[in-house]
Amino acid sequence: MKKQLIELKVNGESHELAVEPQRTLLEVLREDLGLTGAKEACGTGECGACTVLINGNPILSCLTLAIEAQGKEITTIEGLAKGAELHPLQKAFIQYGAIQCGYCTSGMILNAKSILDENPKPSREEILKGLEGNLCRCTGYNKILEAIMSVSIGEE
Amino acid sequence: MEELSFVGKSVPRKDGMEKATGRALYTVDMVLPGMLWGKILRSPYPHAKILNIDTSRAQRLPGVKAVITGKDTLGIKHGFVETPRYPPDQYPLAMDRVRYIGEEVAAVAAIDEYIAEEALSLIKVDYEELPAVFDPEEAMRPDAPEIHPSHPKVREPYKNIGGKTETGWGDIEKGFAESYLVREDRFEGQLRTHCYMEPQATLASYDLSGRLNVWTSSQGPFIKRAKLATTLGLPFNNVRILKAYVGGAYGGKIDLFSHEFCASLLSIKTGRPVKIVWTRQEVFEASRHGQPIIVELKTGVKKDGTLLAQQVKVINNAGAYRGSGVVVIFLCWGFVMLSYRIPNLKYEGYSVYTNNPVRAPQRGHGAPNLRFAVDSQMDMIAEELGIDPVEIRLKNARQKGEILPNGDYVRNCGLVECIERAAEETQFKEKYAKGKRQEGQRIRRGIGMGVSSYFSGSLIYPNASAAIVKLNDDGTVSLLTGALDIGQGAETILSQIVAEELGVSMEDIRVVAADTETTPVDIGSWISGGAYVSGNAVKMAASDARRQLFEVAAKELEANPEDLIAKNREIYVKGSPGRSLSFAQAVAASIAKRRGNPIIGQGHYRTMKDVPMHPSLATTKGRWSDNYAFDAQVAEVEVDTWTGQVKLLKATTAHDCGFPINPLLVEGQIDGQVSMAQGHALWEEVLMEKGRTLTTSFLDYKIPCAKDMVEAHYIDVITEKYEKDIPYRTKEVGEGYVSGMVAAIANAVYNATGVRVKTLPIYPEKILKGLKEKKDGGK
Amino acid sequence: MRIPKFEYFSPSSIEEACSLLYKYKSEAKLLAGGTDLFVKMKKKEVLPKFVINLKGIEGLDKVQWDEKEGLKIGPLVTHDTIVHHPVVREKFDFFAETCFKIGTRQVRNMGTLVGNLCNASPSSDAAAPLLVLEAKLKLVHLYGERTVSLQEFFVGPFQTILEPQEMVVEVWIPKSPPQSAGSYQYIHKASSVGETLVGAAVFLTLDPKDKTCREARIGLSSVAPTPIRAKAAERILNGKRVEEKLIKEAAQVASEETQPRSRPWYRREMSRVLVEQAILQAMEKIQ
Repeated sequence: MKKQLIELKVNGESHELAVEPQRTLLEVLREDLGLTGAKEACGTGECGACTVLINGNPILSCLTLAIEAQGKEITTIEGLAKGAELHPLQKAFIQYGAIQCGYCTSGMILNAKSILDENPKPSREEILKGLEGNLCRCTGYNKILEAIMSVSIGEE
Repeated sequence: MEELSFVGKSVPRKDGMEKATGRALYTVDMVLPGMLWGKILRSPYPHAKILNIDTSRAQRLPGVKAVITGKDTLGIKHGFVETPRYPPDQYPLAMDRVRYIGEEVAAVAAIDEYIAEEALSLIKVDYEELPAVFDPEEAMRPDAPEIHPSHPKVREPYKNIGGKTETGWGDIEKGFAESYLVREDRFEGQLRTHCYMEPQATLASYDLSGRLNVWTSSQGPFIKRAKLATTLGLPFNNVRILKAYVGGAYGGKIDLFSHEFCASLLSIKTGRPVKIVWTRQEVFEASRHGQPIIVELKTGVKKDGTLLAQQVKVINNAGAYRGSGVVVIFLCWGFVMLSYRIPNLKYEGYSVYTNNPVRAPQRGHGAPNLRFAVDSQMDMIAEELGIDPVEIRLKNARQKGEILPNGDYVRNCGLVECIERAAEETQFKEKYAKGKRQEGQRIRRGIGMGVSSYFSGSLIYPNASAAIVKLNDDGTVSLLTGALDIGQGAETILSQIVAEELGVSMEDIRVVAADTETTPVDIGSWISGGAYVSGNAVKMAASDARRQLFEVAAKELEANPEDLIAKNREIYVKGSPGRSLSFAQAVAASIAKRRGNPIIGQGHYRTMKDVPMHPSLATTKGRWSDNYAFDAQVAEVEVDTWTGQVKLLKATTAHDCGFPINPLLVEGQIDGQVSMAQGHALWEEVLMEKGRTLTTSFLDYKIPCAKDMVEAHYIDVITEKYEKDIPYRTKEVGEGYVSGMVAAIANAVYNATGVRVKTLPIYPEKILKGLKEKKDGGK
Repeated sequence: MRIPKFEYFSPSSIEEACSLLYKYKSEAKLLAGGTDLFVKMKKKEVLPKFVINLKGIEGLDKVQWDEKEGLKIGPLVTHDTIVHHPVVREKFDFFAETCFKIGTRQVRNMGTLVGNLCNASPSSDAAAPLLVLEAKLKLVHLYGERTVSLQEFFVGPFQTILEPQEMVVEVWIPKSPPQSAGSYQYIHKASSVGETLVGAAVFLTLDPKDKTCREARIGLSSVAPTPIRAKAAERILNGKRVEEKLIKEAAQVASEETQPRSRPWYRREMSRVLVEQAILQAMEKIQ
């Protein structure tokens, strides 16, 4: 199948790439752009480890074609920090012990960001419901919730 | 005792920054120039002879660079344990037989995964199917198909016995004869799996000078290196396992896996790096899941609930090769005898071959199923005797200073305090009484307790940990440790120990870890000895470095080494604040005046100081561990008696972990184990039919999601302390908190509903049917 | 897991899409959200040579309300849009709530209602509420169109009445009669997310004063090869005064209309429990 020339805007930067149509956004981010923060844990839409933000909304990059993502603002975990200045969620995840093996972390933080962007003061239930698509096997989600709550109620 | 600055503090993890910014590289993330992709061809039959394999068409496919089968290997077997009684029994690639659906038969390296997959479809394997058996009790029957000939010592009267553990003490018949009450029950634990988020993956790169470099998602590089080098016929120093971050393991990544061997051999054959990444479907269908264990328990007690006699039979469904099955049946004995005193014991454990994928340790390695059985029955006994479930446990619980039947010493065992405080903080007695009075209510609450104990480090290859602490010219420090952080925070706690011993800050320490070429040996993150064994090795190395610094500084400052203290990379004389020497100055002085000695501290540690080797897996004779952790856990559940669905509302863990090196990390470990116990008790099961896996995705196999989060409470029972310059005794926290919670949940469900479930998981049907039976039975 | 290779089209009109479908028929698949199609392709359950992306066609993501006709939902409308759409929340509240249950936050952002219905999973959550709302689907192909009821649309597990050259362009939910309300009750297979084990939707038109049921509609998902209407149970309630004994009878009959293949005893029990709960909840809403 012939490659198509596409332009992807990732973390504010434009990239011109030649990709075959079946290549997912996840593959292209990881293999063509070296942005390995988004991960594959299942490949079939259940785990959320591949979550990136498209125009601010959390989507599964393993089920999104790279060619479909043209013309959109793609945000990956690598785009969250401003230089050495971490995003409050990243700081909170570290501070509250919300990271163990770290494999689910990128998707979890991005989804959490989108939840807080929609509603800066969500309830515990709203956060947990919002995160239901991000599986974590290490933390039991307890400290993840604490970290997100701390950012939402303005703790620093 | 002086105030500690780092040990015992909730220091944020050292690798937090890399993980939070997506910069941490896991094996799946790694790429090398010229890299090829590998794929594995797996057996579609549960038991068959391999008559012929024709790889010619696959080899001719453009883009394919190499195809290997068993005949390309040296035919050297490997195994989880390698003892005279239990020699290695598995080839890295099947030779003349396959024994489970999914067994590795061939491997391909190609320029991309599409071509590699197409190549697999072009490999023609001629099989002759053989009769197969899947249930362990059926496999033990004399008319069962033989998967491997049983080892002569473990044969009679059963078949397909991969291993047997038999032990006991006292007079079991007399014990039962003297018992006021004797109960016999059978409990079954299901096949469940780890669900590590990072799938199995390996990147192997062979350079033509004969060196193999391997990155693999594992639980410790040294055991991998040993087994990989042996099966490849390479000397250890030509096989380098480098550090990669690990996306979860929980026991499922310890053994040598075929794909690690295949990636390596394919790289050797092609001269190019080869990467193999499993799909999640492959992980469900062919990887090593947790051992499903049947426990038959006959227990006799006095009228006041004191245990008199226990007869235990454990049957483990090991899968098609021995794997760690022979270890789990030994461990189950341990998990029987650790928590409660049993004057008369008879224990028999069988690890049985079946034509299923090989099973692996899974967090707790037998303890969850074993403690589920023992502590469920304890509650049943308590109820029959009219005794409180907390009281009966206190009566039988291990106490401080006891000697275990195998000769081990429990030292400062805090189990009694764990039980008492867990009961007190959860208001157990009141809630338990209330739980029994909910007849007629739709939504019912229940409370239950489970007790467990765990060893902290034992002897198994590589048996020891060592560490090096190097001083840099500016006084900052490198810690070289073979310890692998699989999420539990190994690098962080080891840094805390260096910081404490040496008087530097966490930022002053750079950790070089888990590289078989550049870091010293380490026991690995799977034998529950990270904090204890690796920690003490690091402590000794840091202490040694400090001693050397003080030797130099004593001369420079004209003081006695005993009067020196180190803090913030400075060495001070106690009581004379003006007199100090920076680390940088001390290092310079050492190089100048001690013939170039740059100050390198060395340390090493091994559990069981004076014991030559691990205990006998077959007889349990011998000393097992010199350090035991204990816990009592309480579960509070809510049951909807119309739907049978159970919610775990609150989990309280009272744990004697010695002392927590990093309380925040310990809490995280507890949270994760409570979550695993929740899944184990309520939802998780890998369903199989005639050797074929039916649950092949996270849609079919339910692990807890965020909405299932449990309110967690922690009670620290501190039984040890940390002192400079001497080995410390902290206990394991990574595995022992699953088992008590599984039992607690089962007991809580009983408290809420009066339905006793003896097979896991507690499907809602089991509760509904149980309630129906009670109603119809007219209780 | 990689998606098998295919040839890709991104038409800019329905006509162009239909033209491609007519040309390639069963060798082509339509792409909306991708959450079902790509999973099936990765698992090699479906291997189209041609994938036709509908997202390039303007105007397919509209939700339109007409005072006479009712609600019309386009084929690219996502679950998330439905959840938050003020008109859907007002007119068909329990349907909007149901859509909040589907999948996960990410899946709801990507997946479309029409895609979900075309996937025709026996356990589709959207199906049961739409069945009791008597939704219809408009199917078009290059040379014609037809409208079918949702009930007709589902033919078997993962099978619909769609011909290879046809596509769904609209879900039409007719206006609800006065004094009516609906409810959707469900339990999961395990834990609190994922596939529905049993879903029960009830839509009642009821006189709130004397509780006479003018019309009862009961829908069940995940208990038969397709989502179904429990017609015998509905007949128990139609025209009668609804009180506890009748509700329990209807729930029992509904459970007997199921044909669950796996975990049958539990599914029948839960059908009974959930239908009862749904009837009660629907009744409470009618003032």
